[in-house]
Amino acid sequence: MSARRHVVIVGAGHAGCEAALAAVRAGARVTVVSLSRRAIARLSCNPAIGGLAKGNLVREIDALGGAMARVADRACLQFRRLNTRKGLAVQSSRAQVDIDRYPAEMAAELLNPANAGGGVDFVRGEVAGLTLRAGRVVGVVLADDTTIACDAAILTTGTFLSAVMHRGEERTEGGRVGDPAAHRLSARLRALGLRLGRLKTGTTPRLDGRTIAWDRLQVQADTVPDGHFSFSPPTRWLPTVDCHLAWTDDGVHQLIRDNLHRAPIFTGAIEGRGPRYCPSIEDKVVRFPHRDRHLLFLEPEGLDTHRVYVNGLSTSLPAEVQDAIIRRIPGLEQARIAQYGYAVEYDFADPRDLGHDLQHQGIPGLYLAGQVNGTSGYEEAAAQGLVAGVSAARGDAFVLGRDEAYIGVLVDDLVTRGVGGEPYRMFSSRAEHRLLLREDNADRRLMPRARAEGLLSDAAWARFERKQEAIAAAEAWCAGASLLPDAEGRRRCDAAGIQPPRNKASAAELLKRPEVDWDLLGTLFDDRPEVDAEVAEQVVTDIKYAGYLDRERARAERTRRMESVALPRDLDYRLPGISHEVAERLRQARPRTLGAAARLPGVTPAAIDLLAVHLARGTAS
Amino acid sequence: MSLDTIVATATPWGRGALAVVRLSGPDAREIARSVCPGGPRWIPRRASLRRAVQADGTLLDEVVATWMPGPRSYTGFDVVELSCHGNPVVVEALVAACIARGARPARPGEFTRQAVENGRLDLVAAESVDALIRARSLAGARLAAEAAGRIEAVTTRLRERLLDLAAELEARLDHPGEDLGTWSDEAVVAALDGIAEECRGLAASWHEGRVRIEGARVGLIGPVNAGKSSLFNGLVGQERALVSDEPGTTRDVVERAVMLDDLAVTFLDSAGERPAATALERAGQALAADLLADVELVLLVLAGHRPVGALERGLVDRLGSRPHIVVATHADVVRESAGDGTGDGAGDGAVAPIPDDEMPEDDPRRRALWVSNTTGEGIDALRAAIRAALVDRPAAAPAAVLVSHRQQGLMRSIADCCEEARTALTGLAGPAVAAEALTRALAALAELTGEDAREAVLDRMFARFCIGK
Repeated sequence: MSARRHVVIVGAGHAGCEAALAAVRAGARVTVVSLSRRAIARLSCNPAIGGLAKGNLVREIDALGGAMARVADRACLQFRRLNTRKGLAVQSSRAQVDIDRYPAEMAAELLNPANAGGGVDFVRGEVAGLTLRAGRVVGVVLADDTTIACDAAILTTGTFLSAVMHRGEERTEGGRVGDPAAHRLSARLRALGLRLGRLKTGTTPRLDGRTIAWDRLQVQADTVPDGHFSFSPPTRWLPTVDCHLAWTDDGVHQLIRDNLHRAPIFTGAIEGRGPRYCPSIEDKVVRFPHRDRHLLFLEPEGLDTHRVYVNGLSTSLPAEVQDAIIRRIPGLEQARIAQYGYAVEYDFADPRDLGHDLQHQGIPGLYLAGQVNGTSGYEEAAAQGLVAGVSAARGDAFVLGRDEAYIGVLVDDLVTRGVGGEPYRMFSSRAEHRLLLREDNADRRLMPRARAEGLLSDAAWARFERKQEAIAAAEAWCAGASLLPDAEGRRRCDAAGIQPPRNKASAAELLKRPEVDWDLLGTLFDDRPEVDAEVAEQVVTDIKYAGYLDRERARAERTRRMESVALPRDLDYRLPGISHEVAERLRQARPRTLGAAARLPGVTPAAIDLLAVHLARGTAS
Repeated sequence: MSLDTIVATATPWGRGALAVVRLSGPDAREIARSVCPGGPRWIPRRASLRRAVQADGTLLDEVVATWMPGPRSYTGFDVVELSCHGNPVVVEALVAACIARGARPARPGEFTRQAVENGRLDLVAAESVDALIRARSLAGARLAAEAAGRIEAVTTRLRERLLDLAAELEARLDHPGEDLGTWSDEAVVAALDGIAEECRGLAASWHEGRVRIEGARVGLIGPVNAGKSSLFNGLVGQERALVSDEPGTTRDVVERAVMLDDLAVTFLDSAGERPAATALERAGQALAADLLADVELVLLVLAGHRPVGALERGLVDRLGSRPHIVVATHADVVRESAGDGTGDGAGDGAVAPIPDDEMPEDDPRRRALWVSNTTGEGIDALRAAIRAALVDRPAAAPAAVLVSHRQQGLMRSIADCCEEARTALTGLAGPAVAAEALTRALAALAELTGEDAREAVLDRMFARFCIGK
């Protein structure tokens, strides 16, 4: 056997693709097993990548050399920046992507023989089980009983484990329209001792765009021309396609109320819990009875299809009710449903059984990534794939801190807190250091590490180094250039429309004023350097928000110190001052570090202080 | 620490009819059994007569023992209370017998600390217990008894409002365009302002809480011969039966504590002759400095029958914005010399013998309360004014009165955080920074009730308690 580790990836969805590519970058030989090439990077739900907090994940994947951002850029039909007026830290990007080109571009990345080591081996087949030797995964067994030997296996089986689709009274086995469920693997995993739970998610009806009265709908504004995710901009863009807005009304809501007895989530046919943040339309009508309308986004699925995704109308009501609902919506009276919405229920594996490398704690060599861990969303899946891919390829955990990346928050939340009953979606509110984890600085946060670990291409690194130099030069200029309160200084301030400074002021000092931005510095100073917009953004953010960022970094540093304190596995937690309730929670969760203990729900900071004191005494004696 | 079983006398030191020795901890019952062997079966919460013995088995005293099993006891642990005869010798021997069997002497406030650590009391409730023990007037005791409930009601509401706001900000950050948020920008800012204002009001209420619980100190300052000492005697004299003398300090200040209605008030007067000052202003400042340091209220006593000079004006400057009442003496003398014999005025004294407009603009007596130490005129009115200045809040009364300095500091932090959130929200920094400030406000609130009570906080707090509580 060669020295290169062999990693087998089960599944070719968003987690599987990113896992495979990451494992290749990390130097492994990689085999991807999937039912068909058609299953590569399918967009089973929204034809969109990114969104709040998710956009940050996409940028982080790019900064770590991953493919999602550049593939999205190549398939992008419309790019938007969200929360642009909301100050520091919470801006995100979202791209509508072509539902056919995205998977095609990802398949090209995956199967590209120019990838390190000649790309990945793609094997068509269904995985039925794992071969273990001395408790370790040594092979993946296919349904035809062939075995692929490996050093590590990454399961990225999405929603396919024992999946059941629901629409009204209909029940169909399968994880996506037209695709079968994986039953044997589900049973095998259970037999191996994986704790499986059940979750539910849903999707919306797709309409035939030719039957929509577009001229009666409002066009969604605020698109960013030439917007892109990757820190290396694409060389070409697809033509931009508009999204439109529509609204439900009382009539629609009444129709839904009249048919609730036929909705599987209300009849008890579905036992899994659905996500609160992405509620079905029947959920919304029940939970917000006073709202007289709900907003729907009509998102075109691609340039070569007439299908339109109705964002906001996730439903598992019977087909004829879905038809009636659509016909009641102003602008959609004549619209024809091309594919009905449905709910899907599936098994997930409790991620609290995994380590921070997403390796199962009881079965070395077995990694799990993506929706199988109870998450929702392409971006969350891809991010896990990357972590599992690098870790499995190295046989060594690739861990990002909660103060380094949303990816770090995601993995840590999953393995320490679990998913808590509904599919886990990333939110900015989950990241306690979100002021530091911005989309705009993902490269500065992660590229040095990615480069050191051999995950980043020469081209991307060279680009980053140039950017860093430009930032440093511009910041040095800001500190040095100064405006005098003389006649000339006053004239320039008048021209810029700002109050002249009372004393000599540097460009950096002026930049701290709310009304001063990079452009205005050009009016105030003749020698302001010309830099790219992305460089200016870093300089302005670094200077304007320095106070907040410094405080946040200090806070992160404190947390980091707690992260370095390991908790003994046999700690009893029956310590003076720690209540029985808190001790019980700690005993159950067995956190690995003091930091992880602090993040457990119900564990008070006071208890953490006591633990810290106890541990310090223990090491002293 | 609290996994030990602790023991202490719960009643004051000295001879009395009864004394109570209290045991609390995992081994309280075993230790009590060993100290009081035999006897009737131990039944929870039922008093029983037992024989307490020393280590060598000899009889110590007959005691009434009550066993309160945890967790439904004051401390949350097993508690045993032994009522013995109130002789310090017996009490000491009983405590020693408990220690000999494995108990440890309790530190100040440690019983209450166990209660907090076991979730039987929150920190505010514990502070109320402390305040109740220390209260120097019935009104203070009542305030302390009510404090825990009132403050809890207030903090519960504050927490709800802060959580609502935090949730609103998070919804705006994570779900823009889905109009999940239900508040307008103005409503969020108004809510932040409202919380900040309420917390500032609550923080200010500690002044009243402290005055009611610990009593207030009122200092008399003024030039020599203004009638200051006579006024002091007038204020404390009629309450002589209630006066408790405290020794004069090296500062040569006489203190007398009296009850002013339901308030315990200590008046402080600088006694002894003052040398005639050459630099009058400097003398005035030196005179005031000592007293001003630790009083809640100052009475600036000026002679009504003499013109005011540099010394008086120096004192007024010195007072600045500190709470004070200007008192003008010799109301009777002034009135007589003005030929106005009509007012006997005793008891109300509200009528100034010199109309304000006959005094210079800057004469501090223009806003004075007039009294006569000879006739007693105006003294009752002055007492009422002192009381009002100490406890009457000008603005709407807050929903609760705080009972500790710690509570005041945390209320101020919450107000600060809300103001920071408002600045972030209406300015450059944006809602993510605002949300972070609200997180800190919630942490301060958690620290207030003890959900997040650090070791240092507990140490600081319980050190003030008496042993046995």
